[in-house]
Amino acid sequence: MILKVQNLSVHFGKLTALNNLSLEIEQGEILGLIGPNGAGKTTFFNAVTGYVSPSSGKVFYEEKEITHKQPFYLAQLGITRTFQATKPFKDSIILDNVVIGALIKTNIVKEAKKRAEEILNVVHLGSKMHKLARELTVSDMKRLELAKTLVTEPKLLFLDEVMAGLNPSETNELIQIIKKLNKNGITIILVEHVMRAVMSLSKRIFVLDCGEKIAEGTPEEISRNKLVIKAYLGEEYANEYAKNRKN
Amino acid sequence: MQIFKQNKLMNNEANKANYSYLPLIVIGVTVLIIPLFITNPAIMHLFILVFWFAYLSSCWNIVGGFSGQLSFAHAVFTALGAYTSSVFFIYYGISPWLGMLIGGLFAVGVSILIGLPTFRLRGAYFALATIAVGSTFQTLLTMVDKIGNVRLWGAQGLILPIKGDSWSAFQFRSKIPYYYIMLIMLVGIIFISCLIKESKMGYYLRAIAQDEDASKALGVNPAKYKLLAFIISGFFAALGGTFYAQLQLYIEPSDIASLQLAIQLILISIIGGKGSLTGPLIGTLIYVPLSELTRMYLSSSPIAGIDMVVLGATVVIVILFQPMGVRVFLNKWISNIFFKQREIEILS
Amino acid sequence: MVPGLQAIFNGITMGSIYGLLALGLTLVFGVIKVINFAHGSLISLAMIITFFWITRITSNFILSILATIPIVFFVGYVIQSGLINPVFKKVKEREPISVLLLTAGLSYLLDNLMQIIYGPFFRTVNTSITGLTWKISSLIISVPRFIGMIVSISMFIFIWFLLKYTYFGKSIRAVGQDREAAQLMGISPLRTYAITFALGAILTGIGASILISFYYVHPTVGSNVFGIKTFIIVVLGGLGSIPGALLGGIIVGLIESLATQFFSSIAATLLVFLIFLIILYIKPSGLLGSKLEW
Repeated sequence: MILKVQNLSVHFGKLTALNNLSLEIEQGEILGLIGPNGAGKTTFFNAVTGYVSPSSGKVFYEEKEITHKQPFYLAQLGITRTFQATKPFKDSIILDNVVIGALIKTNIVKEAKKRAEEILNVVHLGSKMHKLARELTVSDMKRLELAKTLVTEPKLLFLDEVMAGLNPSETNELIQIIKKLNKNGITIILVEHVMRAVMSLSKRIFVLDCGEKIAEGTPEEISRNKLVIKAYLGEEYANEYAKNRKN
Repeated sequence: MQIFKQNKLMNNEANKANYSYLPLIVIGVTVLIIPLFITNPAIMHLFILVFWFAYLSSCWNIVGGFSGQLSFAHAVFTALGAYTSSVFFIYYGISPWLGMLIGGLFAVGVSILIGLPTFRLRGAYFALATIAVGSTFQTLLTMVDKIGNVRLWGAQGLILPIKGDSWSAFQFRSKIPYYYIMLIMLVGIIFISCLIKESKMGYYLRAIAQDEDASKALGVNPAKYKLLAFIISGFFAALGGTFYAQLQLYIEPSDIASLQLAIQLILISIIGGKGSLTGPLIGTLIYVPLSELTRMYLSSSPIAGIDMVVLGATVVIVILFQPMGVRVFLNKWISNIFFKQREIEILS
Repeated sequence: MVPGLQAIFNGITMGSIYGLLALGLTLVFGVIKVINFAHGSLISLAMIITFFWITRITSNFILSILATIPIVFFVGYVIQSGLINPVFKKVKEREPISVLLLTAGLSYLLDNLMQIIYGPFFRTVNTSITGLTWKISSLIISVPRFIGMIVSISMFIFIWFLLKYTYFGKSIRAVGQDREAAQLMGISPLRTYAITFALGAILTGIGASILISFYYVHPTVGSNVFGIKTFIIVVLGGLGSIPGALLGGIIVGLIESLATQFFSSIAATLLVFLIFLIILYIKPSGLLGSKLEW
């Protein structure tokens, strides 16, 4: 078991963003995290990757406790993440963006550059290596973000809405890339709103609403779950669905 | 090592004509032989001041330009250097060369003391905190007359005993030794800046300057690197402070510990282009002669501070039109004249 | 009569005035997210303008202060709309460093320009309340400072009310929280910035004007004496926090006053610095500041 979250709660003053959340993730699986906006998905990411300090609860990575640890410490352990709004280093060229990530494994800039070039080729950005990051298209920025995280050789990867803003063929391409990464041994947790991606990638899905887990199961189970439909699509649809199922 | 470098996108012919070192050699030789032709000590003094400001601005650039942390506290380091070496010399007879190093070590300690709490703050908060630290230090120095047996003279300033020509006492009658010493220091700090810039630390500092959160996700510990840059920057700034004390043989808080000095260093780097190697040099070449000239030509009328007005106005104008500094503007200009539109980053 | 009591009273009165001087700075930071390094220069400017009114035009102190307000408003508005806003238009970051540096350059420019125009002399003014004191049992109240405190507290209450309950105030807070969202609501961020800056200038101007009733006038006074304190106060109380400015001001005033009384003025400076450093260590966002401003 690569990640274990125990009774995690996050309070921002009077607002409870996460309430007593527990979950476990097996090494090598892809876990999908879905839920309506404001459900606490990004807060969960932030709490587990060290950007927000949990108010209570514990997080274990490979049996070791990592609650309250800083993101850069976690990155050294092999935990890394992307951000919902991509965060490229805008004033640097793409190569340098990835070099910064590559330097986590080496102190020699030359080596880091080589590694960076390799990874950029994997995500098909090799030809644009010397372009300034601020000049990229949305789809390329996503690739850059992915490249930066990949070059740190993560074992556990958190992807925050990576499919947002992509057209269908770009989405397909990214789905294939993620599948390949998973086959190479990376455990992945995805937050997504693009259902097609979540359904086709995830082995298991967790559903959050109002900071709590409301359902857990395989994609098939989740797509039939009444609570999930209600939380996502509304009460009317849930009743409609139930009526249709009876007939 | 390349200070004048070519843009990587240029094609082969340019790479073969390895002329990137030529301007460097020309400037280097010129600067080395200047003392042979100039005998006027006032003009020599001007050159020394140019080197000195360029040196200090380059020191500041390591933390302010490379990592984007606007520290207004650098006058604390220059003052530490100046006062430490002077006090050790006057009261314990220790050579200012050694005093210089001791001052540098004090600066390391103080930079950790200042850096640890303040680097937790971001952006403008950090700048403000350093202003408060810097000006409080200046006020303290102005008010304190003596600590124990050691007399600092507060606002009146500390006068160094004159020993005439003496390498061990770091004093010379002629300006020439000062010229070369400062030149060596300047070359040294640029070399060190270059090393840092192209190293892992340099990459990390640039990442921190652009996006701290994103850099954390990639394994960068921002606090550690910011502090490291601060320490290096402070150490060398203190050395510059000692030099000044030995040059002027008189130091006072409103001069060497002042917020005004700290601001000058920052403004010089900004005008030239912070975060670059040649930025502080360009900025100094603009500022120092300009301020000396305005002082010289307007000395007849009792207009004090017109050079400051000019500096202030220059900064305002530069920021409004080219926030990245004059260096970018110069690069474009040079590219246009010498290389017809091919955009080359000559001054890096 | 406890010797400390006099010092405490002096500290609170002077501290409130410091708070008023810091109020403009913290307001500008809370909304526009820039540190106005020319803040000290504005203090000097207001002092000099009031000085001009009261020595050349009218000897009525109140009228002089009132006459200073529109000038200072205008200067503030022009600085923001003419210099700072253009930088905002060019650079898209949230807290542009360029603006910081621009105001630093501006501060240089203004201070030295004032020195050239006003001259190097330190002058004092005899206003209707200068030197006036009241005595309550053994407590000596310096009238100018006392009035300064009253004015300061009134201004704080006024601003608090303005920001919390009027549409104008809410639009300022909206722009401070989210520039784009405010724009979607029909509020012009740049114009709001200009008005906020001008408002900050007025508050600073009022505080500075009162200063001349008991402090000497000189172009360096604003930046070197009071400006520095306002920066410390603003960080101490929390950048962007209105009550923080008053709290910070009073704390600094108290420390200064008590330390000077019982030790020395050097000790006072040292102590203010020390407390400031400690707060930075424990709570860098200041006493009343928080990550989510307002």
